[in-house]
Amino acid sequence: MIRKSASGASVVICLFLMLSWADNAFAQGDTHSAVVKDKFSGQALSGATIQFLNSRFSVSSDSIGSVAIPKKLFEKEDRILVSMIGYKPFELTLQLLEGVAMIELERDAQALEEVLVTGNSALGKVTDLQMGADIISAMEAKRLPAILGEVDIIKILQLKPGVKGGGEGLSGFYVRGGGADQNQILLDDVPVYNPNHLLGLFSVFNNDAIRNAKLYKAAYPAKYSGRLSSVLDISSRPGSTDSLAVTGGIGILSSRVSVESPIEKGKSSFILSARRTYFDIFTAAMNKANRRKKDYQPIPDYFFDDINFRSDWKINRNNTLWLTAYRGRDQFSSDPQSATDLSWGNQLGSLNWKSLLNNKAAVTSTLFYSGYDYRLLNSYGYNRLELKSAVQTVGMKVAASAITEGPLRWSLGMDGQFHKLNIGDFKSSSELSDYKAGEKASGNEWGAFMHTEWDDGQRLALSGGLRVSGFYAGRKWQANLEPRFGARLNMGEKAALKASYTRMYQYLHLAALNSSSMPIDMWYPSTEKTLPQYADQVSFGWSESIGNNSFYFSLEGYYKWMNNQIAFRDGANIFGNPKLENDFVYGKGKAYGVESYIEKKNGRTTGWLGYTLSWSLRMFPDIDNGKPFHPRYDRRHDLSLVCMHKINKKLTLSGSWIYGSGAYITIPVGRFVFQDQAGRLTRSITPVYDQRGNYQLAPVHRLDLSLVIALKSRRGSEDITISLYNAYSRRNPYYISFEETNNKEGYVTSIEPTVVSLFPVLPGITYNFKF
Amino acid sequence: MRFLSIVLLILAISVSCQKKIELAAPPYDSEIAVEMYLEEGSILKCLLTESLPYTDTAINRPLADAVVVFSDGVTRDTLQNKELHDWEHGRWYNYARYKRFEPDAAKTYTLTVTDGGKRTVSASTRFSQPLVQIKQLVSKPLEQEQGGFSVGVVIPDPPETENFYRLMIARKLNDFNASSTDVYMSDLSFNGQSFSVFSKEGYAKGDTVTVRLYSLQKEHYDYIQSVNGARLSNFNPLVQPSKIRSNIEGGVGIFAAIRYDQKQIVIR
Repeated sequence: MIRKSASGASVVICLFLMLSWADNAFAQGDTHSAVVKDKFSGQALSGATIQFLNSRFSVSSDSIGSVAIPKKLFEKEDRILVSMIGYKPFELTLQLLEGVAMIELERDAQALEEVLVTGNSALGKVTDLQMGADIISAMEAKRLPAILGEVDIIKILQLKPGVKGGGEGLSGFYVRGGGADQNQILLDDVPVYNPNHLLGLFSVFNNDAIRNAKLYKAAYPAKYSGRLSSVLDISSRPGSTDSLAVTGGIGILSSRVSVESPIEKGKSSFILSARRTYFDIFTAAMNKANRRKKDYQPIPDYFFDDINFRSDWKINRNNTLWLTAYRGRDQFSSDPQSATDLSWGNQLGSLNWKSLLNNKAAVTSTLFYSGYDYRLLNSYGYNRLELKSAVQTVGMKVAASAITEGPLRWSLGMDGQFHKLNIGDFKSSSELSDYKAGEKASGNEWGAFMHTEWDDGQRLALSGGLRVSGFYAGRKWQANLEPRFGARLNMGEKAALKASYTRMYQYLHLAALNSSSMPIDMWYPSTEKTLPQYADQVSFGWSESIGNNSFYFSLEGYYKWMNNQIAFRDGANIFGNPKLENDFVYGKGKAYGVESYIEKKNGRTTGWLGYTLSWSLRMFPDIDNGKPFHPRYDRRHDLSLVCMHKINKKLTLSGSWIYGSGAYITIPVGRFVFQDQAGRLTRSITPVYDQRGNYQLAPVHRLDLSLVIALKSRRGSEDITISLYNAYSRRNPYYISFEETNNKEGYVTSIEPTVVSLFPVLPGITYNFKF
Repeated sequence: MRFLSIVLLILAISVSCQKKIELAAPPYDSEIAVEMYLEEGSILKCLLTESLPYTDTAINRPLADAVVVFSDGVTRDTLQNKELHDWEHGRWYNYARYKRFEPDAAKTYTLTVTDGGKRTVSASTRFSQPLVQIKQLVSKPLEQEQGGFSVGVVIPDPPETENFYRLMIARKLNDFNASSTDVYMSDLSFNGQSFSVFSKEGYAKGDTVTVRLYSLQKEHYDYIQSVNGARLSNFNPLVQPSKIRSNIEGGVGIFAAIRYDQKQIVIR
């Protein structure tokens, strides 16, 4: 580990030097820039591919739809093909392209309903140097089954190999054996600290407000860092620059609406999206109806809401600004008797500027804020307890990517983040006294990276990157190197071998109460005692396009070593602890497995089959004497089958079936009597636990179905989505409860284990519209 | 934290269903379970039982054939296998010696138990914890309960030592109910400050309420916390199951020195 000091000024100077260097480095020729847009709505389209049909050059539009093409390419005669999922391909000559600043794509209704998850063709995925990545667009997500009709992009990503959900009633998602806190979740390059609403039943991402999500499980480009196990990069959707549009949906338990409009036609726009659940309306009505029943326990009120906002402004041909904001809140209130209120939520904001630097490089600068906090209030009689925890981050990122016509591509950049953490701020008050306790901390995280790719379209392609990252807290700098390597070896025209090695550092740790993510977990910075987590991962894979590019097949194996993992020791004092790390224990983890995936990409029936065989283990010297144990999310077998079928122009049926080995839980092995010296006498026995993860629950399987009925609409599009979650009502195990039987004296005579399941079949119906 | 996790669980459980299963539990060897408290003026008494595999159909039986030896470093006393009722607290013990115990802070007390199966467990304890006195008792009318009064207790925490408390508020200590106050605290988050607790239960005018503040040893506090944690995690998947932190070497249970301050207040 390198330790050194630097000042903020030197960081700024460095940044300017790098950009100056980038300016010179890329000043090899001129470029032509254009914006790809939806012809109907005027929305900028990110991820559209511009492919030169004779040469091997291709480029994709970025998050604001812009593409920059080296003018050298215009010297040769060529034709180009502009394509994007859900749109009719558009072919034009170079001469024609040179004269336009906007490329408009027309929607292809047929293609929208046929095409499944990836934006790339089967062959495109084979020849892509990137491995271990999945991309899904909001449009595609809408076609897949959704719980209670609420489309959730994170839930759909959990159907991919190597990605697992926490299980019913447990939030978070787990990638290649890593923890829920080890996923770097970015919304427009801004870190999201808690992606869950309602114990993970919903994510914080409103599908109407996002464009697409890309998940990296391995071979992370060097611009990413900060978490060990995955990067989920989500792009929000810009508003229409052409006309006013209203999109929304009305469901059983939640509704949502988005309004988008040009501010200055063709130049600037905004989109505002909001949604809210109304569980609380139903529960309040139930509580009111039952309030006279003697033994009735009122159901706590719960709701969540969130708002997304984005505004784009194209200043001129070379400069675009956009502003994004998000605010979400979960609110939980118990009945007035016990007076418990819990709320939690994220707040995000970013200002982004994209500029074409001398028309040779695209430079994107992002200034952002991200915050997450929770607040728990509990009062009874004269006692009042308040617990708060928060993490706030202010940061800046600058990244430049070269626009070159050759096989060598470069990108470089740097970023800095200031974290302010309020860890378990505890306040107890009554009329006689009050006290406060907790821990506050701060830290500076920074990084600089360079990433290169060399791909001449021949047999071998290579990528290499280096990220230098660091963290400053407690008067100590910690600096580390994060190398990244990738390689692709074409095996004929339709198959390729791929390999990668990556090292990732994580400077913020989630002090979690359990191996499942909860809203009251707390973020904790790296210190001299709590060292940064880091992981090394090697991956090998085979990709192949089968049957005239109709099928895509991949097989990937990985091995990951994780170091400086943290957990709470048994009996830790978690809240109001002035030095929380004194209750941490430190250890290691490892995960390995094989993922296979086959996807049918064309035709009226599309879908995929994924299967993962994997292991995940943790070793802590202070837990079970260092004996390896299974975290709850260690799942040996994981299978997902996803299928969509377009019945006719009006009806699309989709379904997904999952099967997973049972989760590892800890059950008691023994019991003894403890009567206590005084106090309330219970003859309840006391369970004895030994090793963590000592019992595996029964396997989980579930079928979800969805039927989308397109309605006739004069002014836009309307549909009704009917969904069935857990269609055959499989009672998947959530946990094991033990019921005691007592004799007349109150002593326990027998204990019967019962498995507790959460959700039976849950129907959902949502009316969706876009005008 | 555990209370909070229960609150979070309520929504999930409201839609849950249960089904009985056959469980292939991991193997477990039974242990000697010990419970013995040393208290000034009290006679020596101990509860010995045997732990069992968790889903065993038998009752946790008292251990009848053990040799229980108590020592203060100078003298050794053997406790006899005889039933003894602690009427003050409503408890029952199966080994005793009718000798009034007088604590000495300078002494280390040891307990050794050997059963018929020749298993031996041992433990030691000292009266090392400082005794913290209740500073103030008050009563205030409760808003939620007409005619009810809450009893408030002010406790001054000494800054120089690490302190662990148990506070009990009830009409009678041998008649505890679910609403009676019984809380455990470590001074980790309020070291050196005064803190106060009000009773959850409401009392009527004329009631005499007993308030007892235990100053616990760390190992006793850890043990009780771990027992509560283990019991709670038995039906809550959102918390990490808690292992029992016992000071009984070779077995399970607690051998603890008890110190407390006790006061009464008449509600007026």
